[in-house]
Amino acid sequence: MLLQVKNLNKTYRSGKVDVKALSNINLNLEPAEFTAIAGPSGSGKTTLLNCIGTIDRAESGEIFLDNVELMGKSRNELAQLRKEYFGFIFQTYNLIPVLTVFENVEMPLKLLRKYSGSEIKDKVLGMLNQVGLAGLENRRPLELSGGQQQRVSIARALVKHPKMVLADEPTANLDSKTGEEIVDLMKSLNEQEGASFLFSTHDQLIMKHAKRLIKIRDGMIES
Amino acid sequence: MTYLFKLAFKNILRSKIRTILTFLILSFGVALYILLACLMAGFDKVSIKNVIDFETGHYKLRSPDFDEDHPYDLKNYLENSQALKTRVLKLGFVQGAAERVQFLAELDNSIDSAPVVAVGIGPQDNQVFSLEQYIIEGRLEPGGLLMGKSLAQDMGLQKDDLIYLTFRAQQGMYTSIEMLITGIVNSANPQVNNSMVFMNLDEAQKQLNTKQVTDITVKTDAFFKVKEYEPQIKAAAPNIQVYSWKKLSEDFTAMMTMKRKFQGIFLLMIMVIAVVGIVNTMLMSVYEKKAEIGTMKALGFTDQEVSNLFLFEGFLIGLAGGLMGLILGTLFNSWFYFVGMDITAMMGDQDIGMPIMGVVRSAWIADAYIKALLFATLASIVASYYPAKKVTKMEAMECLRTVQ
Repeated sequence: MLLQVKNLNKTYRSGKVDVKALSNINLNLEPAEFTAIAGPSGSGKTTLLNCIGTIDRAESGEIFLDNVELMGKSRNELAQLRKEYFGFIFQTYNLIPVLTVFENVEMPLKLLRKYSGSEIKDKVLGMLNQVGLAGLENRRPLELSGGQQQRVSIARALVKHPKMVLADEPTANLDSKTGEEIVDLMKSLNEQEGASFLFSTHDQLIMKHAKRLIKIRDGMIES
Repeated sequence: MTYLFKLAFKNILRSKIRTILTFLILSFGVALYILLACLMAGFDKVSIKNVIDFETGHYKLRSPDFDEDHPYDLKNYLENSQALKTRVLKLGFVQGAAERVQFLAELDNSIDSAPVVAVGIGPQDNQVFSLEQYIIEGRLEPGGLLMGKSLAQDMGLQKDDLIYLTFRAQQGMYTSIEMLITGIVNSANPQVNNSMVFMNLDEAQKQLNTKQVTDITVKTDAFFKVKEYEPQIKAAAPNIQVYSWKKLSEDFTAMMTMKRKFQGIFLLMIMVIAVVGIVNTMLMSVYEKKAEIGTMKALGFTDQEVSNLFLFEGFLIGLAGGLMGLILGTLFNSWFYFVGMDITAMMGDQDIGMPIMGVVRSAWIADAYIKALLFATLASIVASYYPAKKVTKMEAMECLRTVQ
């Protein structure tokens, strides 16, 4: 078992009102899964992904990654975990605009501090080739289309071979054709790299690509 | 660490105009400080030279009964001055010794009168003092008088005019003598120009009815070795009061200390302005990069690493602004070093508390360069501390939410 989520609860405070974002979420993920979390806006998809990815804290419940409990970890320990275990793909790509495509993708490897310059170069160029961006490594993010930027974001998430890739609505800012291309790419990388993918979406077209679909509504898993 | 530095460097180049403006504030402040420090050092250098060359020499030897409160009192005569002078001249580091008689007098042109310090100077005076080099008209002739240019102008006098000099002789009676102005001095020391007249030593002694002098002024091979040489001078002049130029110009050196304090305050003010500018720049930068901070934290950057990124940005702004300031400061100061500043044209004959007149040039002070660069860099790091701390406390999810 790669990931185990047990009785996860999360409440937001919106003004003077408490909003239950996640309610008793239980979820198991095996390695190399390609799973979509589907649900309407405000259903808790992003909150669930953020809690699993340790960039948000739940109030109660347990999260195990490779049998390691995450809830009691310090901020620095969680940062270390994210560095080694998770790859993130964001709806708005979140690339660093002052860095080139190459520099954006190399960032997670630089953080790991375990590869030489030539190893990093080989890995980054290889990954850019895999996502179809060979030859664009010196471009800046703003010189690329939305689809290309998301490919860079995917390359950045996968270059360190994480155990788990969390993608929050990765196709929401793209047209349907490009969206499908991106999901196809994620799927093929899931097969090639063996990383487990967990992505949120509310797009029916994208959902059909998932090997497993988890439906969420009002902070609760429906099926 | 290197990677964070590289990132910080790229970040400061992101908002070029804002970065340039911050650089400019900082570099202008640094440049002004350097200019001020170098100008003041230049003033001090010239002031010290003028005090030594026209007033104090390196040491003054005076009677043991010399009364500092009445420096021109005729009771202050130094006995056996010739023997004393010979002894002092035997010291290897002594380059010259000059005897002078100084007394207070009233200068009268038959219309106006002005109090002056009358000085009798001997033939060896130019071994110690620079007066002779600043005579712009005529010379000191037997029976004649040299007077400062400003004093002559104030009293409407010129060379070859006759004046009356009235003073109290040794026995206490008033004496008034008619003298011919045979030369005009335009020195770099305002005291010489504004309130002194010079005559031959033997003539002054004759008028004062004495064979003694009021002081012997000594010049050595190094003005800065005052403390080192003083015991030897004192040994050669037992029972004589020995005053170094530092002691004699205590008022002026106190002013130098004040100026240094003022420079410190000025530096502090500049740095406060720079710090406010940098804090503002860094806070704007934090706000603009909120999404990136969230992304970096999500990718695994620790709070400290993201915080360091902003501290490095501050350091780089400080270092670059400081270096630019050094270049600007050098350019500003070059003008004042090569061309100089005409104090007399700016201030006239006004007493500015320093013995300087005419064109004064600045100096080059390495200390000011080092201090300014260190301060600029340190102030920038301090200014970045608060924004960096703010970043540490930010939650990755909160940062990411701002864009999603």
